[in-house]
This record gives sequence, structure tokens and C-alpha cells, in this order.
Amino acid sequence: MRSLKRLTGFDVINYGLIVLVSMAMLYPFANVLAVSLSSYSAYIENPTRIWPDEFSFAAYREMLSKPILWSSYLNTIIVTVCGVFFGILLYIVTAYPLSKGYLKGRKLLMVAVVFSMLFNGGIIPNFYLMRELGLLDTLTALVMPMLFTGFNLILMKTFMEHIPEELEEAARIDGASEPYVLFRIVVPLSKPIIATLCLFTAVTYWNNFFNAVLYIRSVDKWPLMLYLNEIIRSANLASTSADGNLAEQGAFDVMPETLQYAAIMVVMIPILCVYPFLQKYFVKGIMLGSVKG
Amino acid sequence: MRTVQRKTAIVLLAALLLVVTACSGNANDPDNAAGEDNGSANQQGTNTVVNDDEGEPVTIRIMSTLGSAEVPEDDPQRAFVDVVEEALNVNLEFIAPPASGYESQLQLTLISGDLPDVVFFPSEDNEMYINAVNDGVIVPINDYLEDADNLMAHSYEHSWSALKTMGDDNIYAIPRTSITRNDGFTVRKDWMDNLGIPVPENSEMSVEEFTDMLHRFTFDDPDGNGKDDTYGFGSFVDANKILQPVLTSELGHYGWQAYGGGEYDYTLPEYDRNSDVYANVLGYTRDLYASGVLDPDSPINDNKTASERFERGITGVVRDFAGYVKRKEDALHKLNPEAELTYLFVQGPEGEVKGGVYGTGIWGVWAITSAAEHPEKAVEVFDYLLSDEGWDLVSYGMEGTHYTMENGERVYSPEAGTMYMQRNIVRRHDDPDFFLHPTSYTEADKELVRPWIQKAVDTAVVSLDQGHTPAAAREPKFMDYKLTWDELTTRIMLGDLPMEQLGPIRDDWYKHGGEAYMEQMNDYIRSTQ
Repeated sequence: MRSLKRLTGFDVINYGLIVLVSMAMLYPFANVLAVSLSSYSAYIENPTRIWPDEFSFAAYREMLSKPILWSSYLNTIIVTVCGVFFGILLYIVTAYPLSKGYLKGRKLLMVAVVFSMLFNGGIIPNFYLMRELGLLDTLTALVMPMLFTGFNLILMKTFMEHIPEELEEAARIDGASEPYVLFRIVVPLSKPIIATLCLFTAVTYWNNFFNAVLYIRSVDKWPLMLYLNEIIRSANLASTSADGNLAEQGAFDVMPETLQYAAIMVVMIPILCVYPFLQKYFVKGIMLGSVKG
Repeated sequence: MRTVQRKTAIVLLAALLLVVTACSGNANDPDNAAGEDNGSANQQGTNTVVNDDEGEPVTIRIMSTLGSAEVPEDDPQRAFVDVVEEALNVNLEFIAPPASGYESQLQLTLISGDLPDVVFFPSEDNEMYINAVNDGVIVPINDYLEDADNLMAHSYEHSWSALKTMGDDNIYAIPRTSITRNDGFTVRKDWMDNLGIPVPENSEMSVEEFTDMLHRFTFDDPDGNGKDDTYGFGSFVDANKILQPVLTSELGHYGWQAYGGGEYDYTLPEYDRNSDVYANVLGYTRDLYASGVLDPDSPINDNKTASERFERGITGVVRDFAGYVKRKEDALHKLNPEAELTYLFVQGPEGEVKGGVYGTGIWGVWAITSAAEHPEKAVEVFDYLLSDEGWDLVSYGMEGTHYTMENGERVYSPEAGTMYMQRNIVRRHDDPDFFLHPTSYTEADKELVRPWIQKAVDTAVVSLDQGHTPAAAREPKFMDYKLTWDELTTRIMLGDLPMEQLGPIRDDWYKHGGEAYMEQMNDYIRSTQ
């Protein structure tokens, strides 16, 4: 940063705008945090607060005592871990042969991969698929649809193409089999891209809820984001589903806002703790798969 | 050349493989739910036919929105299911997708062919419901209703008429009844006392008295805090983001009626070119908004936000259901222990309280699908819930599970919760006490609000359209102009457009399919009279 006496008018405006935009972006978070730590009457008095009043952890205590929160957390963790593990395994065993120029039909296969990135069967065919596979209302239905994407495959393939062939040849000369070459030579060298894809995939699984909306019917299989969506939308649903009937709007289970906001914080905190440390890897990771000069 | 031939051969082979894969049948019978059973921990067995004669329970699968984020599988709220199962020798399996995705899952379930026995639809004019009836997915239930004395006795006659979806005598669903009412207004009684405004003994005010009260609530510091921080009335926008007028029935708007003097026998004041009623409705709200009496946030508040602002003491009057007066008062006491509420009605042009009520007394329908192997049992379940025994269960829960009796009064445990599930299956049209939740209202509380609720029920004037949507309403140009209509009439209420624009807006509405709409609606109403 320039010393203060060298700040121009443009700098002042620039920094001022950045501060304003930052405050606008931070305000919702501050509001949610403040309300979650306030009493309900304090919320009613001023719903737009950014500082807690009548400081209380009651909302957190109540939210953390709900079994469905923990089952949702567990479901999300299971789905994320399984999705990342099996997804990365699939990427490795698929990208490695595709990175070899001598593979016959390689170009055709890549066209098929790109085609799958552009076109999708759609919601109804996918639902039929899940039903016919007997996967409706199972956690597998949350793992499978996002297990393998063309984009990630291309990232890994491109990275693997830049691993020197000589290393593999040397291993083969020493008697290494193909699986040995893959898992003991190539995979360790591919750690950066594997880590990146683990990150991408984990965040995708953690945040996804649309597949749960389509395929899950049992409350005990709800992932975290679906549970949060249900809580937050309950108030809106009360208004729209009652269709103007003032008595029926009260028929819905609507959590008080302090509890809703505590739920948001409880869901956000793990990601908040991890994301700042991983942010740079996101950016780096995108570049890893690019063509190097 | 050989390379080109080889590549062509590969492409053709791949295409052949794709065709073979796409056209191959599935070894699994789509109607065999075994595949779904393996994947679902919620299911308690396969969907095999059970021989009722041997005393085995009949399995009935019910798809509904009754799942709540707060109701785990083993919650006491599901305890009543055991009672129903034992009473009727059935095994009830609830398929409860998340509420936010219910319509998506409902649509997918209907087209997948793997139908539950009973499906809940949000309304009798829901597009999916109508299509399902047309496609034969939903079956008529007239035969089964012959033995359903409780269902027939405790549902509105016009509800059953509305469920003759195909226009013949076949009834295609069971209504989830919602009691038709002419709701009044929840009012800050302590503000009235502070300003010396007497509370009418019969809970009725004239329009002039009501308007005067709203003005005094806005400008005369009713809360005595020395600040100009209150508004008389808090309105809100509905689910379609349309601002709700402050007074409607009170200015002579009773929905579809034979008002006389119009171009058509039956009309809605909105579309009556010979009537000032709708202009008066818009004008009243416009005047309040312009004078600052209407909460300026009304055009962006939904009902919940409007209610919160009332509880915060920003507004003094909201239109609401009388049964929630106590709930609102309890919420107000968190901020202001001195707050008091009362409930008032506003008289119409003829000096009496009456209000037009839209709809058919239905809040969602339960439809029996063609996959149901025992449709009569499914109807019996709903009928049982409206019997005296079942209704007691629905309304109050189970002794020992939800409450204990102490000195002749029910004392509810904290685990009883809202009993959301059992209280949202069916209702009796003649028991408005149902809306006074037993966990919140003592008998003394009920005595206070019961007269208001009864008045709201007694003064309801049912709109003659009975929720019917004529075919003309589904024409694209009609639907497009509906958006324009909503926008322009809202702008009139907000003072953005002069009232004189209402005439041209109406004329345009007629040109955009309104004429066909009026004719079809009149034909329909005549057929029901």
C-alpha cells in the first residue's frame, strides 16, 4: 500500500468503494450471527441488528439438541467422503489411459466426454434411472449423479499428460506392472490435481441439495443443506401453501428466526473454518489443468 | 481409405450399441416396488396384496406433505398412526418428501407410474391434479363415499361439487376442509384505551369509525412514547406479490355474485364496468397509503413480516384469523407486557357484517390413485379421522402420549409439540374450535375468541365461482394480461396511476380474453345454481 501522502483521489475513492462493498457483503453474515446470539424479543425489536442483544446461546443449544441436525450432518459427511473417494478413484483410472497418446479411440472417447458435459438426460430420465436401479430414498442416489464429471476428468487428464513418460518407462524397465506404475508413480506425482479435485468434489457434495429434493423421502436421509432449506423455507411455504387462508398459515411448523439463523451458523461454521485456508488451492487448482507453455 | 472405412465402422458399431441399450427392456417390472423397497428404510415391507379376510393389515401408502423438518420417524407425533392402524386393521406408510420439493417429487411420482395408494394435491385446481384425473391416474370414489358418513357429514357440500373435476357426477378426491370465514381485524386494544376509543360491545365498527381509528393510531401517538413511529394498518402482498387491499367486503365486494345492473348476470366487481365497488376498494387503500396511515413497507412485506411488524408495535391493526389473537398477544408481551389485543369487524355498506369468501372450503385434496388395491380402506381411514373417536384424536392427541388429565383439564407435555401431522390430514367444517390449538389455549382463552370465530363463520358469504377456473383463464394472452392487470391495479393503490386508468385497464382486460372468461364463468355459475 502506498504511504498515505502518496494516496491519490482515485485511491481514496477506490478504497472507499471497496470498504462499502465489503460492508454490504459482510452485513448479512453479521446480521445472522447477531440474531442467532440474541433472544427472540431482541430480534423482534430490531430484526436488522448487527450486534447481539440479550446475549444468549439458547438458540444454539436448542438447535444442537435436535437429532435431525446430527443425522443430516452424518448423511452429508458420508455422502461427501464416499463421493470424493470413489470419484477420485474413477478419475484416476479413467484419466490415466486417456492421457496416453497411443490409446486407440482416444479422440472419440474425449468427444463423448465433452458431449456429456454439454447434454444431460434431464430430471425425468435421471429419476427413472434412479428408480430402476432401486436407488430412490438412498444415500447412493446422492452420491452417484455427481460422482464423475467431464470437466474434472479433463483437468486430471491434462495434468497427467505432463508427467514425463520417462519416469514410467524407467519403472516398466525395472519390472513394474501397469497398476504399479499408475498407483506408485503417477498418482504420487498427481497429488496437486488430486487434492484440487478432492476439494472441488467435496464442496460440491457438501452444498448440493437438489438431488436430495428429487430422490430422498425419508427424513433420516436428509442431507444438511436440505434440512437447512426446509427450515429457512418453512416461513415462505406457510405463506404460499396457505393460499391466502389466514388460519392455515398458522398450521405450519415455522421455526423462530433466532433458531433459523442458529441453524445457518451451525451449518456454515465448518466450511467457514476450512475455506479460508483452501481458497488459494481453488485458484491454483483451476490453473493446474491448463496447458503449460 | 481403409482408415475412413475403419472409423465409419467404429461409429456405426457405437451407434448400434446405443440403440440396443436404449431399446432393451428392464428386467425389473416398473410396477414391482421390490427395487424401491430395497433402497428405502421407510418402507415396512413390499407392496404385496394382503388378504383382508385373513385379518392381515392392509397396507396403504400415502404421499403427502406431512413431513416436517421437526418430526423424526419415532416422534410422538406419529403415535396416532398406531391408533388408526389398530382401529382399522391397516398399515399406513407415509411417503413424506421434503416440503420444499414436494411438487417436484409429486410430478416425478405421477409420471413414473410407481404410484402410492393416496396422493395429496395442494388444491383442487392444481394442474397436476387435473391432469392426473384426465389421465385416469386418479379414480372416482363415489362408491366408497356411500359408507363414509363422517366425511359427508363434516365436509362442505360445495367442496364435493368442486371435486367433480370432470364436470360429471364423479367425485375424484377427499377434501381437506378449511373452514370458510369472513376474517376481521386484530387491533391493539391498549392503543384504543390510550386514545379513548371505545371497544364496541358487538365487536363491530362502521367504515368511518374504522378509518378514524386508523388515523388516530398513526398520528396521535397511541403508544405514548412521544415518537411518531406508528402506523394504523399493516397490509402485505400475497403469494403472487399482489398488495392486499385494506377493505374489500366492507366496501361491498363479495366475490362472484349476482350484483345486478352489470353486463353479465354474475360478475366480480373487478370486471364490472357498471360498478364502483372495485374502484372504492382500490381508492380506500390508495387514500390510506397516500396519507401515511398504511405501513409504507406493506407493498414489500409478506404476511409473516406484516405480522412481525404488528408484534413489534409498528402497526396497530392487521387482518388476521381470530384464533391467533392470543398467539399474537403472547408475542407482543415479550416486548410490551402491557399490550392488549381485541378483534373487530367492519360493517359493510348495508350496515351489517358480511364478507365474501373465495374458494371451496378446501385446503388441499386427498386423491386415491389407480394403483390402490384397497381404495375403500383408504377412504375409511379419512372417514375414521372425522368420526367422534378419530376427531378427538386429531384435535387433542392421545392421553398418556401428548397430554395427561389433571383436574379435568388436559395438560400437554413439551414433547407433544404442535401435533402437526395429525392436525393436517382432515378437518371438520363445523368445528372452528379446531384452530384453537389445545397446547396454547385454555378454556378461558377459548371462551374469549370463540364468539369472534363464530361471527367470522356466520358472516361468510361464499363466492359463487367455487374456485372454478374456466378454460379461457388458461389462454396465453389472458394469462399475460393478468400480470399487467396486477401491476397496474397495484400502482393505482400506491398512487402511481390515477383511478381514471381503471376503466381503460378493464377494457383491455376484456380485449385480452376477458369476455370469454366472463361468459364461461357465467355459464359455470348458472350450472351450479
